[in-house]
Amino acid sequence: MKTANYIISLLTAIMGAVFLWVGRSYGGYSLDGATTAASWPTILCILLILLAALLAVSTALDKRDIPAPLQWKSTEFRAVVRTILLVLAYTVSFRLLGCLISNLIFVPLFLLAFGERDWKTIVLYDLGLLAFIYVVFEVILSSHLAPPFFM
Amino acid sequence: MDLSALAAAAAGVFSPVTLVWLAIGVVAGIVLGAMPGISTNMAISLLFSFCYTIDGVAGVVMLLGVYCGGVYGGSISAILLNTPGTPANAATMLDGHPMARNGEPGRALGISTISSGFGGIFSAICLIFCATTLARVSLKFTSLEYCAFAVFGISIISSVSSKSIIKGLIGGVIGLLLACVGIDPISGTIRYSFGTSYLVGGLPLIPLLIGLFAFSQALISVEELAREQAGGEKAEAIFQDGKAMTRVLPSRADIKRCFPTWLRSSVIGTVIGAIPGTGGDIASFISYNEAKRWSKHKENFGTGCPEGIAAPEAGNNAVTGGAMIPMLSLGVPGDSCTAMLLGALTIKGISVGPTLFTTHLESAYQIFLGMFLSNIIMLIAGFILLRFVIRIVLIKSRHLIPLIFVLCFVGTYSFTHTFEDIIVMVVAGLVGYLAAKHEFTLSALVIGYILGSMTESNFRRYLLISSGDLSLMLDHPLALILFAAALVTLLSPVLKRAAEHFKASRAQT
Repeated sequence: MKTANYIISLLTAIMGAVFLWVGRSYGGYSLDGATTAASWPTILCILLILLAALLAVSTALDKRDIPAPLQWKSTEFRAVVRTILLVLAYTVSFRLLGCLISNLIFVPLFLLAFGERDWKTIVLYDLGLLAFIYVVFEVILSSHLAPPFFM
Repeated sequence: MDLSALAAAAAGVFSPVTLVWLAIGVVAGIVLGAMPGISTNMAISLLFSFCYTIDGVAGVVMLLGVYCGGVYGGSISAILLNTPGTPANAATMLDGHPMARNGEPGRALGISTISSGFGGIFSAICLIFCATTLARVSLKFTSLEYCAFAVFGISIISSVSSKSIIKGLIGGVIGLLLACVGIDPISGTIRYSFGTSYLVGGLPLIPLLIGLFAFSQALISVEELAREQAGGEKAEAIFQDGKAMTRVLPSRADIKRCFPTWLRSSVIGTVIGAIPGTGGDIASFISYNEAKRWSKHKENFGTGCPEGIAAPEAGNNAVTGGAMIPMLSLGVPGDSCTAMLLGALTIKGISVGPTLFTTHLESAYQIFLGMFLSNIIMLIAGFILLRFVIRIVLIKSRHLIPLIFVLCFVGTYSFTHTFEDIIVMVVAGLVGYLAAKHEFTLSALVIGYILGSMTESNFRRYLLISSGDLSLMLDHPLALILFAAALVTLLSPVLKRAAEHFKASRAQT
């Protein structure tokens, strides 16, 4: 957990610094009556950098040995990584092939990834889910589903 | 009371379409809340996009139904599976599951249903009186008081809900900073758009909420599923279906025995709900402890005592109305669920705070009626649908998780039909998952984001009026008290440790 905390501290400080640097073009850092668009973000960025430093110091002073929350080689984390890769592929497919086609392809893939092996269940689930989405979103709510890029 | 506004509000809420959506919201909340791994936050965020697409008040009222139903629904899995459906139902397991194991699952579920209904209706009544009173008082507040309330709310949530106060504060500040993206509310300058027109309007709320609460939680469910499949512990269901369930309606003896507990726990839950940052989980445990303290049958607690179910369920459902009090009257949400409801009201063009009771009085009455009806429908639906919900609770995670991912994508897209929203949702989901694993509280980030604009506008308005003279704060004692309370809350673990160290060193000498 200590390594993770140091990385979080660094990323937080970087975020504060980046927002501070980008915000310098929004006006001065005045806190008198004439506040500018930069005033409030500046306060927050400085606070964020201070909190990042505080996190680093408190991590250094913490003598407890807390295990890292993400065990890279564990079965659980590998399952999460597999899911994230599937979701990223699903995202691209959603953009290119639209909602219905990408769900037709990816819902069975999700089910297979999570251990379902009964093909009857997979097919019925996929078709049932597609029907549910179509009826609820397209018909009842009139909120059109994402179309494929060729339509 | 403005009778014409009340009549108009009633006409809107009691219309068939609104009632149908309200019933759908309550049932969806009960079903989703009953499923372990789906919190009320997640249920609201999954159905948030419906609120946007449904016309009029029906969408907001539906989300109120999800809120009330979700908190109650978690008791079903707490009693039958010894796994709380939502964190607010953790205390219900202590006596609910033992009573079910003793051969009385129907009795446990019946007590839980009626207790939840009692707590919810009690707090809805308190909401009506307290919100209007507080709104009248808050008309005297200046911009500094509003800024102080927001800071107090964020600091309480950061310290109470987080394992690490520093990380909770980092989350809150990042939320405030993300709220700066878009157009500055005072000068109109476009900030942090990074050259894209998409960010000119700010980061979109719905994709952010769906990503943080639903998508990230689905990834955590994937972990739990992998652990279970690798040979981990599985929750054992008391009943495989509801057919063998007998005696669901509580007896007169149970009602007589539990009534004082319902009253006490409802007061506790309403008060705790009204304090920003505290939620159903705190209310349920405090209610349980107080019920045990006042009970003549203390030794029975933990073995299936009726008061041990009545107290946490009345307490956690009473939080729903209590949390709406500061949200409606001051614009400061009591918990992350009301933060999302605040977002829903904003999307519908309803601004909360004291102006709600002047310029949008009809909307205020609709919310009151919606809360009241949600709890009544929850009470009825809870008894009618119990046997059906029990079967739903037993749905395998591997069938549930793909549904959640699909709803995240379809729901996000239905908001503005842009692919950029999907990207925001996925990124928020991945960040939310990593944040949750590293002891960050997502509630602090969301509340910081929702309150960011209000906090900045009020702070800068105060500086403009006072010409930057901070000593004028001394003329605002309430604001000073709130700032001081925020500081004490944040420093309390440090002060507590220092006090313990001092006591230990005195004991040694």
